[in-house]
Amino acid sequence: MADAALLDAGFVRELEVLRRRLEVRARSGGAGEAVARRKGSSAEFHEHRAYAPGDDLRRIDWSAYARTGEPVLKLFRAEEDVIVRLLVDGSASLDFPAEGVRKIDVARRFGAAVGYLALARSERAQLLVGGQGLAKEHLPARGRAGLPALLRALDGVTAKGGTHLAKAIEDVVRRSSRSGMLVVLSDFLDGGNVLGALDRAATAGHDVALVHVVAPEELEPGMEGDFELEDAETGETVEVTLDASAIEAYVLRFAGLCEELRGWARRRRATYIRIRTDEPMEAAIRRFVARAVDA
Amino acid sequence: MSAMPLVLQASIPLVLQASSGLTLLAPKGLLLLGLLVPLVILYILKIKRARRRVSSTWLWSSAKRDLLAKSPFQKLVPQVPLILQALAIILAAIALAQPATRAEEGAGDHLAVVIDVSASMNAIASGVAETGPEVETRLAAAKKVARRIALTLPPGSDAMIVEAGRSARVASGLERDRRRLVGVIDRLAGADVEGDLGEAVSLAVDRLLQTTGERRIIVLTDGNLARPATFASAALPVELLTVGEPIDNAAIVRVDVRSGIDPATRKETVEAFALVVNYGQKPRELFVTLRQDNASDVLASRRLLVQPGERAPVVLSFASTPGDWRKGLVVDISPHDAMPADDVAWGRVPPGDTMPVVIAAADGARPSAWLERVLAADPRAKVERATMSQLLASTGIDPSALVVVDGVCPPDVPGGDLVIVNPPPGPCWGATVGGDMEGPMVTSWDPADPRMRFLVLDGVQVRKSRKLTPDSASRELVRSAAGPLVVDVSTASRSVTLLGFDVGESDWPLKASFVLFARNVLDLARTHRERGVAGPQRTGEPLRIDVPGSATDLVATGPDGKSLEASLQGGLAVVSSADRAGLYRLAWQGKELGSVVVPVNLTSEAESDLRNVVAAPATGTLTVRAATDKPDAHRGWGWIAAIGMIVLVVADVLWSTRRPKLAASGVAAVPRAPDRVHRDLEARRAAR
Repeated sequence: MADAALLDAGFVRELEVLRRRLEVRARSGGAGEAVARRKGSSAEFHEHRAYAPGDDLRRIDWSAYARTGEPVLKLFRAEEDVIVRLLVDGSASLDFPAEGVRKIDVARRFGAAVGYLALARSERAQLLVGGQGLAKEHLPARGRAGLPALLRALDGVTAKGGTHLAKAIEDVVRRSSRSGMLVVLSDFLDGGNVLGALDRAATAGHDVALVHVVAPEELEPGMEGDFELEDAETGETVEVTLDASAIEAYVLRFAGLCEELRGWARRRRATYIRIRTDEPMEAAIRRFVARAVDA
Repeated sequence: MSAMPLVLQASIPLVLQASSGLTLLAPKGLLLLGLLVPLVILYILKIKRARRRVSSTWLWSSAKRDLLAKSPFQKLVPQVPLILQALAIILAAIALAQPATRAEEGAGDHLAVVIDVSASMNAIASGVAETGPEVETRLAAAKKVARRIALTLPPGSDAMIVEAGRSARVASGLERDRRRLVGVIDRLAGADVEGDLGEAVSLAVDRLLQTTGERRIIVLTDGNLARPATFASAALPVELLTVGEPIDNAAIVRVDVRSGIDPATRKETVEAFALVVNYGQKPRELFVTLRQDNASDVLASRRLLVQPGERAPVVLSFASTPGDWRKGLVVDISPHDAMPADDVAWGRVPPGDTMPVVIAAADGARPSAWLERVLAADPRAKVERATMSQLLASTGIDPSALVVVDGVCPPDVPGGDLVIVNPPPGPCWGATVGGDMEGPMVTSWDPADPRMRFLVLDGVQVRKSRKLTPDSASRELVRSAAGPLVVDVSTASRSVTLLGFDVGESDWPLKASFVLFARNVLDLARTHRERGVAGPQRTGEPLRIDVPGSATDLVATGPDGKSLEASLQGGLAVVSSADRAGLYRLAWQGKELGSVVVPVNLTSEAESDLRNVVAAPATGTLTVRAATDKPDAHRGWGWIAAIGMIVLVVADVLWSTRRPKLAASGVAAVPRAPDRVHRDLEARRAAR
């Protein structure tokens, strides 16, 4: 069962605990169940404010007036309709490592978890698959009833073909009439202008969260010797002699990639989660819910 | 030994640089360099790379560019193992080749190098007995060793050069400048003298004892040590390095030239006596020839077959004329051999066998008839009578003639030996003549003097004699109770005999002793006449030559024609330096101008016996070894190359096996942002 593979019972119990802690910082503009940061007409009290001529008399807190003799207004938070868009990178580079848990599996499972958190809060969740652009756009699902459809869609995501992640993000931004939470699940091994695309998404009001899926051998290559490395997506080859110097240079470049994404997240007050394929998912989800920026 | 360069070059195949002395003891080790060829080929051949599929080559491409960009030697970065391995092979080859420098182990702070410059050092160093400009002498070999010692002098050390000839001479004081030392060594020249190493070593010891620190003496000689014990007990360590090999040699070790009357022809004949010795292992057939100096005609010759170790006397004679007198003679053995200096000996044609005698008295007086008669009785004497005026004015008197004056005491008389009889009161040469002594009785005489040889003066009655008061330096030949009767008042240049009485006033002419006395005086004068030179005629000794007392402006020239320093004092000319065998010439000006040829010979059996390469017994302070037997004197540098090779091998292993500096290891590193936008550019280009 695809559902069971992506979300097991234990994991769901964990998610149930975490679902109320998830904060979506995006303003969709439509009324919904999610409590927005702006003041509105929900049942959640926000603050008192002194009355000013022209204020709606219905919002005067009479009890406070009886106690203090001063007319004050009682303000509440607004409730908005929130959509969580899961952009899963479906390029061939996520079909690694060859042994153990693949990056695409981690991305799908992480997407399922975030989707569960959204649907459990009666929000909408939409799966988008990236490739040489936006490869596939699934219909949004709402509420717990939409979870099976989301999981089936996630289960159908495969890692193949090339990547143009920037174009995929821009496509998502262009097609989104309302902003929401945009969760990008990818290995970010794309030499395109990804950061520019993310900038445009953030500018458009999307609450961007980057989930960087990495394989252990990408962090610390264990190979030594003379190799002809073949790119899984483009088929390009690079001849390298993997000695200490070469590995050091590669590791510095990989660290540079991580630092670049981390720096962008800090600058844009976005979320950056780096998850290893051999790492327990629960911890990564907790960091995600906390909207952390991984070091 | 002087053969060192030849032997050294044979034993050490490759001398890279003579000045630095770097030598490869095993140059075949350099064959290991051939491994460089396959090593380079292995790196040139294209590496077969394993194909590995990765998620993306994007970061790898960037890393590869980083690797090239961060090194100033971009093309060499991938070849670091090749460089390390090539250097390791080169150093291994050098180590196997055993590079070494010639060095004196423990040379010490102060070093004295004593170089033997005696006659035997001019002999060839080794090989067959041949001479020629291309043959190296023992001295040249010793100078090479000395130069090497000087050039390998440790920093901070100094050295002095002592020349050991007939006497020791400090050629260079303690000096640190290697070039100056080498310059001094190069200027050293051999001499035809008998050397004295002991004196040179003593001189070196005296100089070194004035210093502090580690002191050492190195003696370079051909090992022919006349007195090894003199420095075997030296106060400082002495290392004796011998040069040259034992070699056959024939030499003239004695020469003498006499003149006489041939009994058969009754003509005057000159006989040259030479003693030829074969210091060899094989019989030598030699030709001994006699000729005059500067003449090619051979006066006489003999063929000799001299057995090993045999001493063969030979007499060469020729009929002489007065024109030949006092000219130089050359006795030569041929073929010449290892040591040219002893293959030739020089002599001088003696003046005629007849002794000229001039007897004179005061003007108007007649010399004693007894004297005239007894002198004329000698068949080899020719007596001429003259007055004092004639004597003093005459310039034709033989400078070696015996002059007898009676009744006068002239202060300056030409001729050779002088006999003054019955002088008048007053100063007379080295004595003061006083008043008369009546009837002095002869009490004693000096039988050691050649003039008084075989004399017995007992019973000689003298009626009257002058009282003679000799100077302290004078010797009394005949004494009486009242004072001396006969006094020797000789000067440095002539023999002068002073008789204080008129022989006619005694009964001495009636006795045999009077005849013997006259003969002795004639023989002594004859001896002086034949020799003409006072003192030995051997090289290394100062020459003392009798010249007229009136001689001035003395000029001395050596065998090579070069002027020599000579001093003139009181009728005695002294040439201080006679280091070369040959004919020396002295000429002088003055009232009795003239010249003389002086033969000077080596005639040293110790120097001529080149078989006698005797190693002195090693003692506590003396070590003896041949200069060529110094393999332990090499200072090897192969260990440095070996250490370098090991370091390189270790570096290569570390380079090949080193772990990368990863972020997980905590090593700080500056991440590099990956290269972007190239795909966008490509897309835009594609869109156009």
